[in-house]
Amino acid sequence: MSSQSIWYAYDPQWALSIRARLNELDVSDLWLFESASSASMPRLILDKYLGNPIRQMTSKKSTENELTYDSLRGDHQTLEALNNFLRQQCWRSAVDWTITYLMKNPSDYHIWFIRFACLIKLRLFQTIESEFETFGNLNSISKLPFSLRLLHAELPIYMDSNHFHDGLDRLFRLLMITNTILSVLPKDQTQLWHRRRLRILYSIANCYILMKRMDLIISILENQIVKNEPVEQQIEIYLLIVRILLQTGDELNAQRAFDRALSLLPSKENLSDGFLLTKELFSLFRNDFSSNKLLTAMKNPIEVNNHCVILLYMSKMKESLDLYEKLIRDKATNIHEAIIFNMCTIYELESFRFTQKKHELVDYISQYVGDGFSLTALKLQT
Amino acid sequence: MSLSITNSGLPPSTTTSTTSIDPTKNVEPLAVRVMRLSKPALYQNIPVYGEEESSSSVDAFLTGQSHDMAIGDDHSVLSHLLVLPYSFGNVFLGEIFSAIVALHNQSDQILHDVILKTDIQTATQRITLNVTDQIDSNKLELAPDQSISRVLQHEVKELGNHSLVCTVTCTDQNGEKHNLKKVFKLPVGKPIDLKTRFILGATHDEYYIVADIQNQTPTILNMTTVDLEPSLAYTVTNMSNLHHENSENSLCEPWRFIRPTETTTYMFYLKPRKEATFEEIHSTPTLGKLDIVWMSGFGERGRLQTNQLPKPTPSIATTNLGYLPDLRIFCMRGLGQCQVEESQKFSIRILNCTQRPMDLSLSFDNIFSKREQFLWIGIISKQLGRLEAHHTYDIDIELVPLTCGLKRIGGLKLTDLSMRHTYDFDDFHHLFVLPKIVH
Repeated sequence: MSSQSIWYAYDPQWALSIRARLNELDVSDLWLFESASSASMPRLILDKYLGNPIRQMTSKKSTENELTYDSLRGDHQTLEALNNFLRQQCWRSAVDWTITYLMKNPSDYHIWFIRFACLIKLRLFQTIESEFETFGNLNSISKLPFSLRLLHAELPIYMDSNHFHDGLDRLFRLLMITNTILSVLPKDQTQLWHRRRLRILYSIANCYILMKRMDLIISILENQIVKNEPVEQQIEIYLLIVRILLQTGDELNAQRAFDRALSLLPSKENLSDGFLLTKELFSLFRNDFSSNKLLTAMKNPIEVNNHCVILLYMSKMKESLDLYEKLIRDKATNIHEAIIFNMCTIYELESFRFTQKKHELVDYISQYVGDGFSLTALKLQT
Repeated sequence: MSLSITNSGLPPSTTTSTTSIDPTKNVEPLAVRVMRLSKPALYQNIPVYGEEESSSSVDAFLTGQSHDMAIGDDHSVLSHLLVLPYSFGNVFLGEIFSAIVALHNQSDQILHDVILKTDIQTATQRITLNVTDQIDSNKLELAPDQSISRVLQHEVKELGNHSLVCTVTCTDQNGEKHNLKKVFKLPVGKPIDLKTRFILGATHDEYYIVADIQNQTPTILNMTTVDLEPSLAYTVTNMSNLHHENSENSLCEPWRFIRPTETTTYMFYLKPRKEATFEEIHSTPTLGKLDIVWMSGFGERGRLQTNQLPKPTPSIATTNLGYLPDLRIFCMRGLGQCQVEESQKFSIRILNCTQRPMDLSLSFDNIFSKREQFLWIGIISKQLGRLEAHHTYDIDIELVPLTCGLKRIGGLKLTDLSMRHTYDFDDFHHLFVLPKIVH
């Protein structure tokens, strides 16, 4: 069996059973059904409200238009309230919202997906795994959203380094079922499933990245994914390869990957943000720090963050901190965990008053960030 | 170094010398803080897949996720955002220790003549570190609450206890001089565990050197160079990469990477240079040294060289040089394949390894040639003459193979007339004899 065929493998027996139900279901709901040995009703394990820890830390009083779920407020129980929490990245409030809802509607799998999607953002992996177990065999549930199946398959790879193979098992099984579905669909109805199949491959690639399996990462990205994507996406993937190689110390091949991305561009003028950010990473690698950057030219917050990090390596601690303070005050959307983490690290270096400075920072950002923000970024000793 | 921000209880990246928390009680006007400046890493996130057409909430979730600048279109866990080192980490031999030192005026006066000296103290020496930033003048002034910083670099060349010693002097507004010395311990470890072993080659002067390298750092290492620099008399062939598919188009050479705790084996083949003299080959007790260079995240570089590897002493104990036979023969010219009953000429070089001259005479072992089914022809016994110590001469001999097959060619006898000692030689060559093609 050639190594190519694992990517396209499918089971002909499964194909028969899927084909039998082609006329009963929407294309997007197709799946391999295994009958359940016993009926299982999903239930919550985490039923205490998560609340808003950042709000609890700040000394500022809460405002009216603050976005935290309140189980006593009628207007917080609507779907629109949930969607509002989600749009503002208030993952904790969204999770709390789902507790109330799922107690009454335990078989609304779209809301289960929302709940797990928010929990995975909050890194509460064990909770998700335990609650998934209450579902029983996922393949015995009809009309389970595909995104929920994918989240279940990806879950182990984020837990810790002991579960990578569980993740790969689940992802390859998902891939095989998807391949089987593609084998029975008429050619003009395969678009959605091709997109889903490709996304599974991205998840497998992510697992390889976390495992640092250099032999497998580049191979799957180049040989399985790139050729199925349009040119703009191919460029993104090659730039991803550059980042992976620079982070593992392989400058030579990173340069080749960068050149390959460049060769896909119709014109070398006006390089996109992705290219400019990646070029900076090469300078960092080579210790080639030039301070000729026009600060006003940097609009992209990632670019500013990376420049601030490099300023520290040039011993320009004060300039770095000044630029960071300006960045987070410029726009609320510039506030990101990584940026706050970097700022707190520099605070700790700069002076003994870092605890006070961190609290001032919390007071400021608590007005703008959703309750999904991770407090560990603040490096506060509890 | 892959990084996601979790609370794992590792020691913080900043080490501080001041222990008091109440700022009004600080006696020292200046505080010294040091932060390890290993290269940063890329922030890792969790990209969640959803289909916006399935529900309004999924659409809302995806909108929220799209505001996260770390999430890109490539669906990957690796963002473009750089994150500073999470912890102090270990310092490894062969790598460059890099740190930033910050001085903070925590008094309420202007401090004058601020001078910072930074040294590395090892078990054997004290090294003053050069500064890498533009602050040239040693006479600095610091206003209250002002901080300055300096980046230091030091290539770690020895194991054992290392300390970073920061000495700061300044003068306050009353003219009083202040002196502050802070010592930060640096944990130095071995980045790789190297085990070498030797395998003797087919002939006495050839060696295979096998090196096992285990990565003992917590990050993946890209071994850019693992070379053996041979000592003068030898040439080296690097056998480590022969089996790797070197596809021109491939963007990765995965065999170069060693993940933490993994071991990779490298192999080198050494043989003497053609022009090397007997003395050159046999007087050097060493084979060469290993030069190892690696790269890790964003350009962290490391380099180690071993000491000269000693020649392994083989178990055969004979006269003179202790491990060499008195006489050695080498087949210099001759075919490896021929037809049956076709006479074959060979040119043989005889080397006198002893320290005394020999007076040699040649003859053949008929039992050997009978067993192998060939006949020596031409002059089959003669005096060869005097052979000085460490010298060689060449002789021509001729044979006819009588049957087909793979034959061992040997059975020479050399007699040293001065010592009346006969040396027997086994095969010095192999001959593959083919049947004659009848036209």
